[in-house]
Amino acid sequence: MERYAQVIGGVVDNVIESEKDPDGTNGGWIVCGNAGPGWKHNSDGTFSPPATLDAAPRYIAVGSFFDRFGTYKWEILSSDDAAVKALVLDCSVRTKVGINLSNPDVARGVQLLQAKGFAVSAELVIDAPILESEKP
Amino acid sequence: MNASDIFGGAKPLRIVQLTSGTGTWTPLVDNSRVFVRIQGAGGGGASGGGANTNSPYSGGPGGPGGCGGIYEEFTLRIPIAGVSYAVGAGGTGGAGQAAVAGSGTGLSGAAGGTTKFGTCVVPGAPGGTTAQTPSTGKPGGAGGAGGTGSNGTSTGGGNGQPGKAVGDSLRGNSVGGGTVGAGYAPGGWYTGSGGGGTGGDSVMTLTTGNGGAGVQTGAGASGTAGTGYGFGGAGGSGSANGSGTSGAGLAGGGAVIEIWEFGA
Repeated sequence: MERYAQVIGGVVDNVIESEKDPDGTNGGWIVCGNAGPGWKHNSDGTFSPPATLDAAPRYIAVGSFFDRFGTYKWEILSSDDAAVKALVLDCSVRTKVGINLSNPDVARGVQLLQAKGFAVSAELVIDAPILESEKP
Repeated sequence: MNASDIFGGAKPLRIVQLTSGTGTWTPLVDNSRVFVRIQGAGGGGASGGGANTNSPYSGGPGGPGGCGGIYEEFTLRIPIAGVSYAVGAGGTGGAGQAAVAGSGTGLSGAAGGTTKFGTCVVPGAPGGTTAQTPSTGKPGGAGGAGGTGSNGTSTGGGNGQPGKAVGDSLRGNSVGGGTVGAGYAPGGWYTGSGGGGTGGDSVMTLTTGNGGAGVQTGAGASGTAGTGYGFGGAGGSGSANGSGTSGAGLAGGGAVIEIWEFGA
């Protein structure tokens, strides 16, 4: 059986399984793969899960976050690599509440830096407890 | 109308189960009296977290199970024109995750679809979330939490914690409790991963899905699927010892609409 979704305002409202395409029966239905209620229906026809941060947030000040890169801090901040520059910019604009180390994007950012040759430690950057002096 | 009005010692003319799709259900006669049982869809289980690829390795956490679906029953009369219905699909489980540098997290399971019969609406249960607490849900048991992977080399994976039920339910007590994560041999270098949480149960759950067992090294494991309707999907276990993909969460059980038709 295939999974079909009803989409309202770009968000999946309901999902059913059906042997045949039910489109037009009790509303419009589209094939939705693994999507569930609350998922976003993107303009290219794909579905993406709701953006939720499941883990408890752990906020660190932006400056303290960069300090955790240790000897690589200046190299990262002055990098000409487009992806690294985008990461630095993304972090730098989060001055109001700081950076949430529980956000999976942070782990992906550290992986990006490692892929670019910066031997930063995920333990030191993400997992280390946030000191009082590091809080926003 | 009360129960004796409907049953009156008589057997139903028929019992119909709607287990998928959408459409219009029509009774045999106009204004037929029906007793309807709806088991809402269960949520999907979360996947385990990927192992930490940095030394000292640590196992990924187990994914919590999805919540069991809500149960409703009611009586009504249905005109010959019938009523529209939609049977909610079970929520899908989170996909397994690769080992990562740092703290690996799984993917949450999706919520179940909404079940509708006329004006009665039963929302699907939430999926397991990757926060390391039992996923709380509406009536129907909540899924068990995933276990925690060990750090360093001294302990194995953790047990999942019992789930907890929220609100009233005919069977609101989750059987909870994730599967025990396999430990590593003391003195060795392996790090156990957390076991996946058990899926929450529902009124129409026949067997509950067990979470994937924690592993000593390498890829995590998916659990076993529940049977029946509306069960929560089991959570997957984390991968361990610095490599491997975590166990995927399993899908929750789909909904069912059961209609006992007694006639006019």
